[in-house]
Amino acid sequence: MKKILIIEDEKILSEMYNFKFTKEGYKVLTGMDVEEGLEKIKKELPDLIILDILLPKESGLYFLEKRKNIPGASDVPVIVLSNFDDKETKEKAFQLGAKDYMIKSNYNPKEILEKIQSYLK
Amino acid sequence: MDIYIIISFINGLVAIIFGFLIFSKNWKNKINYTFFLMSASFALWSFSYSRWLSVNTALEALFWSRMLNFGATFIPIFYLHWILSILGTTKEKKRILFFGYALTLIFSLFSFTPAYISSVAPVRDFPYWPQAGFLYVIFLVIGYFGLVGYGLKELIKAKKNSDIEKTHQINYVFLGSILGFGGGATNFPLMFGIGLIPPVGQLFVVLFVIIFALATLKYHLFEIKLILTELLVFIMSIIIIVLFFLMPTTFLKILIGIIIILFCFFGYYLIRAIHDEVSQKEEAERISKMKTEFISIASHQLRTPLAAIRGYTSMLKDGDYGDLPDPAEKAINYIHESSVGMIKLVNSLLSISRLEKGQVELKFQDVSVDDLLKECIKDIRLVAEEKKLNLKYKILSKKIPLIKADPEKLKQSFSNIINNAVLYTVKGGVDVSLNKENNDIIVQIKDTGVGIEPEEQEKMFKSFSRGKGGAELYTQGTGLGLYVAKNFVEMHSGSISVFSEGKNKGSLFTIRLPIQAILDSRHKFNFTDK
Repeated sequence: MKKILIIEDEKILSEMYNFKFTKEGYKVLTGMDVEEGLEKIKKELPDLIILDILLPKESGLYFLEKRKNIPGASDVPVIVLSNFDDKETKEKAFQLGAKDYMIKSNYNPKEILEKIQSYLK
Repeated sequence: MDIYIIISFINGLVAIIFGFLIFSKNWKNKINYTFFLMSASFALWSFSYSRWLSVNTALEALFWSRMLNFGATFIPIFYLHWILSILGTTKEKKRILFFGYALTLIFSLFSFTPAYISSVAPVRDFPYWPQAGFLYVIFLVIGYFGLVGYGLKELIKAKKNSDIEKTHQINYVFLGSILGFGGGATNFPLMFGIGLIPPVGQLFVVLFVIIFALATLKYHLFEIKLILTELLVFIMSIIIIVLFFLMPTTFLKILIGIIIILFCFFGYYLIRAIHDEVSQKEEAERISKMKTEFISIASHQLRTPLAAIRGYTSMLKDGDYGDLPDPAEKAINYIHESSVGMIKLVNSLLSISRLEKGQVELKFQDVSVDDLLKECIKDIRLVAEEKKLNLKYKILSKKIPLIKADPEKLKQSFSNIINNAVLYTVKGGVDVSLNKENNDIIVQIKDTGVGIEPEEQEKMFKSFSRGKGGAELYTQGTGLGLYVAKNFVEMHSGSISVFSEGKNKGSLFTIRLPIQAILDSRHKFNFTDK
């Protein structure tokens, strides 16, 4: 069973994606902020990470940077899923190794799932 | 010589007034207090200069010429400190500053010794011009030209990474520096007994303080325009008043007197007119900035709940939570559609806020307008067919060249207009044509739709503006499509126009794109024009 880690502070959105991905047969881990996300990947490396940018305390970009210190974590594809639509942040995220940068409100959970599946093939 | 006494006194007065003005505005701010220090040393130099020229004995002249050079010694280092404070690099450059201060301190300690100013001697019409000692030469090379030159170099460096407003601010500081230090430098040859040119630069030095004071307060350009106008009126008044006293006959004095009255009258109205213009522009800018910020923040905040509404309703629709009873399914569909509509609106608002902030960048490449139009038509064909509209596309010219353009932005412009034509037409059709005329590519979109009243045609391209007929027919329009289209087309040096004979008589939109466009990848908009 493939594992997806969702780092998202909005509970209703996190629950929504969790429900959809679990229903499609994935094991879902969740984290509310960067710190929790890093702890989760230290314990158990997921197959893919969904990452929000505007998080409490540190931003998602910080997570992208810090994950490089965790063995194996750099190889896990990260899809940024955020409503923060800023050119510089996008560029920075790609520089730090994000595979994709999606605007949350522009996609249904089903469309996000399709994107995930394309990376997990 | 009298003119130098007066000018130097005015220089000192202006410097001390502006210095205090800036200092009192916010004395804790580094930019303000370094400016004050620079003005104070400038004032000491100017007042001593004025005093030095007024005295009658060589001994007094020597004392005051040393005093004026004591003041002048501090100007370069305070200037550099002020420049680095404006650029926010004092911490990075603390070694240079330390070096500059240490050097200045040494020079100042020797200011009243022959090593700095050896004596006074007659040069040109001046009976007691100070003569440079060997230390003064070092001060000129390292202190005056070295520290000031370093400041100018830093300004040029900072200009590369500055936004438009900051660039203008730097330009003004640069201009002030050249006038001030260049003007001041006309005194130096005389200190070596070279009297070929009189120290005329002294006359420009006053501009230096005024321009710097404006830049310190981070004045906008408009305010600089105002102050420069005031300054011009002030200088002109002085000249006319001096002329008044110089006139040999009463008749000429009366004539000049009349000119003074007329000048005061027009000068007052000129300053007032510019003052009003400045206030209006600033207010318009402030409102526009607030509006843009608001849209940007509101849009980000709106997206999260909208993502949840869209996401959950899509999952309900897809049956992720089990089958829905028929009436509920319909209701969920409506909620979902509404949320998607709302998301589109939020996205448009964000595009506009970016446009108005000048944050939209174009990525130019060779583009086939024909291909873009075909794509736009393909995207809307289904809707046109559902409405039983005749959607046609034809190329009127044999060869349409590729143009340098941002395909995404150009496509959005075409698509906004073509989609409008389809949405606002009930019966008949939409004709899209592509043509080449001289050095332009012409795209025309003609429909048999609701048309636009003549008085509405001009405002159609403003943000949030919708035609009456269109708003009745299609309620979900945002009034942003044409605004975005116009801006994108203009960023390609093109133009967009509309013609309609009136309500229910259809519309014709014409987009004109130059084949050899002047490309500007970052377009700054003047909000007040909109």
